[in-house]
Amino acid sequence: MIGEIIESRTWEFIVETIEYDFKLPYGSFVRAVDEGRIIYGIVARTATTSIDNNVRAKAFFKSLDELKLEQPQIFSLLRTEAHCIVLGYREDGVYRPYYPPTHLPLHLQVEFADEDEIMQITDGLSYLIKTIEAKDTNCEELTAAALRKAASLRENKREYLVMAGRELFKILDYDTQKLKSIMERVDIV
Amino acid sequence: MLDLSKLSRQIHNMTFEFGQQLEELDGKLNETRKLFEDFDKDPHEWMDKIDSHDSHFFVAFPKEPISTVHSLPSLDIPYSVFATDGSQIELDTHEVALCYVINIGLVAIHYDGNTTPYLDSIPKLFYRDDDIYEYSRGEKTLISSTKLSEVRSSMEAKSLCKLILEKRQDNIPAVGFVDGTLVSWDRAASAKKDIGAFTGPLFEKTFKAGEKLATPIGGYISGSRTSLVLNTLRAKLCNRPVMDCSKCSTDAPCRRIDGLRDTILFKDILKDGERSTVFYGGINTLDRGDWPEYRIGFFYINTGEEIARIEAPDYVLENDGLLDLLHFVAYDQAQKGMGYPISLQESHHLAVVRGPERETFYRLVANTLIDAGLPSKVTNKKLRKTTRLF
Repeated sequence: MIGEIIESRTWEFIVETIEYDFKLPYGSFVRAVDEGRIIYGIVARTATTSIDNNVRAKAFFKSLDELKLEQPQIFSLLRTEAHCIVLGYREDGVYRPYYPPTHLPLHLQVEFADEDEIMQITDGLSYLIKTIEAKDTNCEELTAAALRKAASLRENKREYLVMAGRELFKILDYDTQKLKSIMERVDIV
Repeated sequence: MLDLSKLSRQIHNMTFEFGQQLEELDGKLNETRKLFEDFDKDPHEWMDKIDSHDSHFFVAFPKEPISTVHSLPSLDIPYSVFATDGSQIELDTHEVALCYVINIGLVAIHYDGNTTPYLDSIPKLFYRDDDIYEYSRGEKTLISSTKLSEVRSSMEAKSLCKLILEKRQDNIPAVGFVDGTLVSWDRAASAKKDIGAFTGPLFEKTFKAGEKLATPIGGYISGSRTSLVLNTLRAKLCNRPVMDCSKCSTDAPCRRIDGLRDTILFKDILKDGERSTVFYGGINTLDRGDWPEYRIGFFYINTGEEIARIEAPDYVLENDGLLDLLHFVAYDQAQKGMGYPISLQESHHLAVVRGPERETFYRLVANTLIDAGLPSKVTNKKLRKTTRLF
């Protein structure tokens, strides 16, 4: 388990990670099971903050080891949240690259999606529309992260990236500069 | 609406008078320092004066020579600290239901490098007649704020006891703190010769657990305004044959040092980390065997930021090992908390009920009442205070 849903909207869900220092990579594909439906999302934004919204964490200017010894309680006062964009869902064995009919209930557990699931989500390229149109994140960074992950799972990475690049070019309304900017960050081939 | 422009002149006047008082304090402090230094030459002279009558200022007696100063013990060891603090949603007769909430913050921090700290808060709702009314001479009145504080202190004490019993680790020294006094010194002052008033009845079980597990319990008082030690020093200035303060007017010679507080005196005496000797109130002539169980005393400590008063029961104050532990941990906690014990800061944060939380609480009560088909109505006064007519 990665964490638990603490806020949910049609297009996104926010996950509080199980530990404040849980490493949840940017652009990870995640899933939550809502009864017979599996909803998939991509991690578009993460942040570690104080549990008290009104107060920021304070700088002590000491090493983490020193702080664990001298101020162990401060680590209980931190939380990490991840904003995940809804990409689609699977029901009755079929993946559907669009929003589920109802948004996710709160307090569901969230896990990393398996490689097979990521392959299925990224076989169709409509997830790129979601990452390009993502709000409150750098959509070029997010799209590049998604492409890196999707391509890394495939034997023929170049072929997949060429195909995805063509699709992206259309989504970007033939903006070569933007396409170049994204593809430069997909440096896995 | 507060019209600050109308207040500002009054604030200026207040500031001016404070400044004048501060200048006067310097002179008073010099005189008090002399008295302090004289005390140890012949304490009996002072004690006889104090014991000459019961109606004197509320005083405190030193366990050792009054000028004894103890430097910070060098106990560089892992330790655990437990702390509790309480807060409440007060009774509001204009709200939807007559009830109140006490929220206790609990903290257990272990400085051993691997045990996860325990931070929690436990709220309790009080709504039965026995909880919200006091009965005195056949009269039924709503619970007073003094009684409410007592209920809160009692819950703080119980929670601290639970923490010590459940979270204390073998072979790691531990200390328990509460915010504020263990004994009501005001009440004790009005019953100076009733030695029972110098105990902490609410903390009895906590003290028992602490004594059994060699865990000092301390009340940490920041910004103490008492003058118990100063009042002892005043005895020397008394020019009457017996020290009956009830007979004296405000121009008595001992009034010369009025306005000083113990903390001001000890700021001049204690260096960073040092503590004063232990003081006890009440009667100075009792043998240890005649003391009530868990007699409360106190000492002053320089935390570097301020002079704090630490109260503790006699099982701690009469045991050098436990006293050193309390001294060290009180200082170390204040360092970790940058001026105030970190464990008490955290228990306060866990306990405190903020305005919006209070509103949400009453909304939840109102909704639950409505769901149950019961009447849920605030008074007209409350309604008109929250919804203004334009």
